[in-house]
Amino acid sequence: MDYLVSYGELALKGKNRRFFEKKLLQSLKEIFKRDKLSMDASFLYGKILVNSREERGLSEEVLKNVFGVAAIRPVAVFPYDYEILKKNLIPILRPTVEGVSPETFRITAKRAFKQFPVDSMAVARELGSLVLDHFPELHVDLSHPDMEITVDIRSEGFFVSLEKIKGIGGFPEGSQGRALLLLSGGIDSPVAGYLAMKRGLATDFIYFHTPPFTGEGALNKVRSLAETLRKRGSRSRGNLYIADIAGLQKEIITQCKSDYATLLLRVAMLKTAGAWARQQGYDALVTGDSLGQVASQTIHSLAAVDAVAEAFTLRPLIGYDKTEIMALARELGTMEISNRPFEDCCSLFVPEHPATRPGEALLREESERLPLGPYVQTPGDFIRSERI
Amino acid sequence: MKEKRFFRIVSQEDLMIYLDNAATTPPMKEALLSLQETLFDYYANPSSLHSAGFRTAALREEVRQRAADLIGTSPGEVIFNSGATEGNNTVLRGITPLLKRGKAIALTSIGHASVEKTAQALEREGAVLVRLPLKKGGTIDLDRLDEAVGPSCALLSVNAVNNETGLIQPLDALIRRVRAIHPDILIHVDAVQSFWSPLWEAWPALDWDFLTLSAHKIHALKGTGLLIIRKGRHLHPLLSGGEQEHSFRPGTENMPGIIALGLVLKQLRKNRSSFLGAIRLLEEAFIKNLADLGDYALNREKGASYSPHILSLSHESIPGAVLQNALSEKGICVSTGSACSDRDKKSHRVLTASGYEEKQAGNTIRVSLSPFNTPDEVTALVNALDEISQTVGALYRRVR
Repeated sequence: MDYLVSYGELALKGKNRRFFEKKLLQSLKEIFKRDKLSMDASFLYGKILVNSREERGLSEEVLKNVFGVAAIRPVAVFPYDYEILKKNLIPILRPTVEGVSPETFRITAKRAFKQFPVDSMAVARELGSLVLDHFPELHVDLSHPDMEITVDIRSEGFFVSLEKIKGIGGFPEGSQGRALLLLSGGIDSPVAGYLAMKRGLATDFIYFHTPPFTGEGALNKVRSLAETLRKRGSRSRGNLYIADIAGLQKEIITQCKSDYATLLLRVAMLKTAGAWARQQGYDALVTGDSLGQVASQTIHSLAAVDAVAEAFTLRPLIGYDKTEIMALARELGTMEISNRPFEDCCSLFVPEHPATRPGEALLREESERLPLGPYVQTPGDFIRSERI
Repeated sequence: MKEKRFFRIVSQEDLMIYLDNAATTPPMKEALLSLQETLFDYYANPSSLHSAGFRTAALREEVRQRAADLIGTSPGEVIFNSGATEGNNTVLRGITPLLKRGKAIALTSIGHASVEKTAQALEREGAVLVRLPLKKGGTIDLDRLDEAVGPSCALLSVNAVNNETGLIQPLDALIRRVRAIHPDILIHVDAVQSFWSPLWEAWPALDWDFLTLSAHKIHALKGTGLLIIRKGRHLHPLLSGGEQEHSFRPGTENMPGIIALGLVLKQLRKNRSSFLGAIRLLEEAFIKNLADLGDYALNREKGASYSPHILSLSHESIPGAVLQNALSEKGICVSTGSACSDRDKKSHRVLTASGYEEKQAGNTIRVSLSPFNTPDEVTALVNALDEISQTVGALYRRVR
């Protein structure tokens, strides 16, 4: 089966359009290769044509979930010869007409190839009457047809389709840059990572391992989450960075005000991750914060932490409710991994009365007690990298 | 990227100290070296009616005899199965017709998951459960036994040695009291952890009806267990099929597991007293050195008795999971409780039901010994516990 892949939002991007198209084509090809799919993709002006020898359900599932795909249409392709199209149109409609028994139809003709001598309205009229001749039980309904027959007229040929399947949207992976996701073992951060990936960020992962407060079990959970997320995109390999800030955590517990402990840990994480991101060429950090969810996610806490950490941080879940996040996590398959029972490092030293309206000045003062220097100057000394 | 000390992951070449023998034991090497050879000779189906089959069947019967001798029962009462989880399920579910007539199961709240979860499932199906009263530490309170056990009880199920605390139930007195209240009650003993306890010598004399055992807890292989059904007692089998195991447990026998068990039992029988002596020495040394540290408490109650191979201990402030991680980083393997429920979040069911406070239960690890552990390993454990208490414990003392 052949598919026409369209990419809505990308096409609006003016001069950058070619760049986005290339990225999408590259994404598709990488997925086909990585997942050993017998599929191929090529440019067709304004669209991408995918040829698939895979079973139809699988092909559609793969294509509609590629970031940047607005819609896909299964198409029958005819050579650029109007007579051949007219001869073959009825046989390709027959299974649908007889199987689904639509009552009404319309023909939508699009003339991407303007040299074609007949205008699109005339093509629609002519093919419409051909259909009515063969299927007298059908009626034309231009506004709410049961069956829409789309005919794309291109120099490469005629592309006829009866169905449009909505794609996942967003931008091709990597077309917006690179991001580093702060991945914990929890429910939220994988969902945030997915949304970042969907908006075109090629996303790698950083996990803060604080032995012995977190063990191998928690680390394995994060490995599974990172791999599950990476596979949502097109890449064959990604990076999981495992950062050890146990040294800072000890200082936080022993040297700092206990109601600021969680916020200081977040400052420590964002500073370390931010320094690593700058060194490794990531454009932004991504976290799973959702406004107001816990004490460290009040608007005051987020503002204070951001001001002190000085790392550009995206928070795609900021307006999401917990139920919405959980629904998405279930859909992504990350929920059951996140629910595996291992303590993540945030839950072990939660102060009894955490600050919810922290003062930026006080947070900065407390953070200055921490030996953050080496973590910011040479973050690589505290980071181990794994390919996932 | 160069290896950093934070990320030392213990590989096999590294020093590893295995002190989680209640979860499973290392297979006994000297006994099992001959296993491979035997496997290639005894591959025939023991139910086959030809010479090769008879030969395999004879070997299986030899192991059955050996097991019966060791427990002090007769071979006709020994059933091979896949392990104690199957055995425990078989016993509890095997009396379903009695339960349908409104009879109850009497049990403790500190049994192994394979008893507890099965009983809970039966309860959802309409069975009645009665819980035996416990004293602090988990010993069944014999003075209050008649509050629970009455004529309506069809089965009493009891864990001989608790898998998390090592507590030994006073089975002799318990069984005599129960029989006095209700002579016909069926008595099931989960004897999985009992091998290193004095109860092991008592099995022939005690008046139980069903006994369940697991091979991999005594240095044989996973996937093999024993269910002993005293003559004249009846259970409905879990499975239907062929006529293996007196028509009670259909399915072609797990010969590799059975042969391995036979080889190990021979060694265990020969060496039990010296092995037990070795474990007791390790236990003594550990208890003595732990007392010197001060921050750890052994979860053992005065007046109760404990199997020497299981030691439950709690730190005053460090959570069990953190202790476990910290020991694991040093290559020392212990568990926080039962390996079968370690992955349940905040699962301290057995310890809290034994009367320990939630905090103490949460700060608990289980050290379990085998005769193949060495005094040096115990010393290393104590030193590691000391160091962890000083470094990690300092942080917790600061917070709480």
